[in-house]
Amino acid sequence: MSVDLNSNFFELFSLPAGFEIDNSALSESYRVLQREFHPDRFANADSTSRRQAMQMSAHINEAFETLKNPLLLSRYLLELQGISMNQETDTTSDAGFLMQQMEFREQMDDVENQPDPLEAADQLRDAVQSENASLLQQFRSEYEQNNYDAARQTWLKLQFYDRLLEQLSLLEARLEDELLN
Amino acid sequence: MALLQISEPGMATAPHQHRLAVGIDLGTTNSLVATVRNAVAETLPDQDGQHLLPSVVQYKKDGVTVGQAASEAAREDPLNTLSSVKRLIGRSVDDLKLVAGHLPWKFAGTNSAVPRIKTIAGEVTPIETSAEILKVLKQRAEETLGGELSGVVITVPAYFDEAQRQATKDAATLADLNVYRLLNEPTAAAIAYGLDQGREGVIAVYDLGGGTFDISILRLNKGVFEVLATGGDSALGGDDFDQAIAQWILTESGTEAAADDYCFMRGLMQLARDSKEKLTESETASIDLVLPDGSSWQGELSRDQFDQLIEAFVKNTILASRRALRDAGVKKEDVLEVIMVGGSTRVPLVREKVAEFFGREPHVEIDPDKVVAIGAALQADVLAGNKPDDETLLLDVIPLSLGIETMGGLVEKIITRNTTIPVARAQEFTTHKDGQSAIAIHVLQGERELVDDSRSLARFELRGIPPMVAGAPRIEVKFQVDADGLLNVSAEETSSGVQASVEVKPSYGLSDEEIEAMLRASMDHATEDMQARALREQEVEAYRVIEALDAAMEADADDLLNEEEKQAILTARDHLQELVCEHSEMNAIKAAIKNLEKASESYVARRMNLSVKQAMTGHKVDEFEKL
Repeated sequence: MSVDLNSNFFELFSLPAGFEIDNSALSESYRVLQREFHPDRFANADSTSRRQAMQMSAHINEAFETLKNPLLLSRYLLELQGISMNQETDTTSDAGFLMQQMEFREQMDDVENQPDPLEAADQLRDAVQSENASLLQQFRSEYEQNNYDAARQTWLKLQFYDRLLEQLSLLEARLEDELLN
Repeated sequence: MALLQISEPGMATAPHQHRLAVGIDLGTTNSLVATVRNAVAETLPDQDGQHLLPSVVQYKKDGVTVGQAASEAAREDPLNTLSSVKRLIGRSVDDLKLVAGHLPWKFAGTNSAVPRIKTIAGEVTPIETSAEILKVLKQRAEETLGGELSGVVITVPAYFDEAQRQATKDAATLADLNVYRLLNEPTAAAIAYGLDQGREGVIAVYDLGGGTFDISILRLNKGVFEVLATGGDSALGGDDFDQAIAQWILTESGTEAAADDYCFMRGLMQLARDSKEKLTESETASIDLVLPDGSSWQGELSRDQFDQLIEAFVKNTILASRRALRDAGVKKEDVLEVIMVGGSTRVPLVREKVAEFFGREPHVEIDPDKVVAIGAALQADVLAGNKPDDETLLLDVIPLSLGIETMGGLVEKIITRNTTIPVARAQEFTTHKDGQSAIAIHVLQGERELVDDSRSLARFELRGIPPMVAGAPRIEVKFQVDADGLLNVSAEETSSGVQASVEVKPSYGLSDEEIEAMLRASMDHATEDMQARALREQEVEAYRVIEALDAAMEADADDLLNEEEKQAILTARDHLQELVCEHSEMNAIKAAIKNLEKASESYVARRMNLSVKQAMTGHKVDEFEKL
């Protein structure tokens, strides 16, 4: 059987549900719970208790990860409102936004040709992060005004930035390697 | 049954009992065992007073020799004497071909994923060889401590992947050891210095052994040890220093011609080692060499000269350290503490260069050969429950990402590196053809995007998918990584509720069947003894379950269960107790445990939810609303 937890992630950590997370309260609750349920606490228990502790501990880790990460948190907030997303198939159809994404990608492809590629990558990262931050702000106000459809559309856009930032990291790592060798 | 014992203040569920627990440093060159006695962690010596056990196993027709004696036999009996098997553990036959040039042993052609080495005692795997070393350490510990071990903590390099960790755990299973936890070596060193209790920040662990160099950059944040980066050189160590001195003596004494003389060279290497050790304390070492022709040569090696001989090697370790810092994304100034591990860090030039590079004096207070074992012993003591007031918790992260193969030979990451473990992730799969009843899944580890660049961990098939049109089945596959970093996979078809069976074929490790077969083979006892042991184990497990249940029911059964539910659980409980008391057949007991588990399933879940609330508020159970 899997661990049955009726409480949602916010209840698990005794935090009010919402976009604003008190990070120190979150971390403190996290440690309290892991001290209680981490498998190390059950090193001498029977094997089923150990398995259960592992499931519980994994559940706590997942909840912690979700509440810490703005992208995961915003999706979770939508899920709590009964709005789910299929990451494979759902996507945004905002043509202007997609155009902007293509521009970002072209800039990324061009980073290597710049006189100082690492500096260029840094600049691009700053630009992407600033767009990402304002989009998160938009999500937040839409969510708080109960405009879930709009919030959902915004979340689908946020995903793009997440991937973009991930690919930028890969690019930077590769550039660093090339410079060193 | 998660009868997760809700311990209320002042209401311990069982009287405290001291359990025997040890930490084991299963090293490439040497292994050690340590324990906490009278609040002091110390390594345990053998009967001759030797703490270090050379990680060498010699197979003979009628048994095995482990340690110093085996090490001395290596020259006369190279094919049957296995050393440094840690380099092979958890590796595939294909991996070995890359290093096979340096390996003197004969490998058997085999269907198994695990390489087998041909010896006079038959084919053996690196896992079995490691188990032989563990058995010797286990015996040493049990004889010294006067009892059976409850559990052990075994250390592994931070960069060990899932397969290597699993193989290490399999070796422990073969040695009949209960593993509380696999612990990263640099983390163990940090625990030995009590850094888990102290400041938060970045810690560098510089580990220079006989034949390997590892640098690990850790971040400690509120009890969570995150491995930010690892690096090193698997073919650099104190042995290179010895070689350099020996070469110097050969040149200085004009005896290069004698380099083929085995006995002479053996004496020379010992002389080189002695000189190296002498130079740790002294500014000069006088060398007295007896030549093959009986004449002798006297010379003197100064510390300055020695430093010049090894300068290039030390420089390489600093370069690797620099690279690791960069990989970790931290600056030298961010490093709060530097810890020295491994015998070769006694060399003054090494200490000097490390201090110079990091801009701070490294920790050397604990014997660098023993520091990892000592840290493991401290952790074992906590996990055994011998320090009930200890609130510290050690959280590890998964060192490498786990993913699955997707179309076009690409890897899709399911769990990314540095995720805190344990962790569970579910992934949904579907079919591509109408009526398709099986799906093949390939699990990989590593950071690269292409399957070909990643380590294959396992392939498995989901079978028994009910016939449906393509794309209709929804198969949820759950990847679970436990606190040791070991992977477990389960699957379910969610639309029909059919439990798809999962058959995992490990790419490197042993299958459960292989382990069982080895366990059988390694047992000297008759089959009846084995069955008796298995029965005893089930009985112990049954007692644990009953004890935990009784304690739980006494605490809150009336609050959480209605009469009917309570009766159902008690019936299952009494049935189990009956079987145990009658020493019934093992499988019957096993089934009764399962049955009791099922009966108390929802009770367990309710208790769990209560204990969550309780943990969060610190209130007592009965202050909550009755369900």
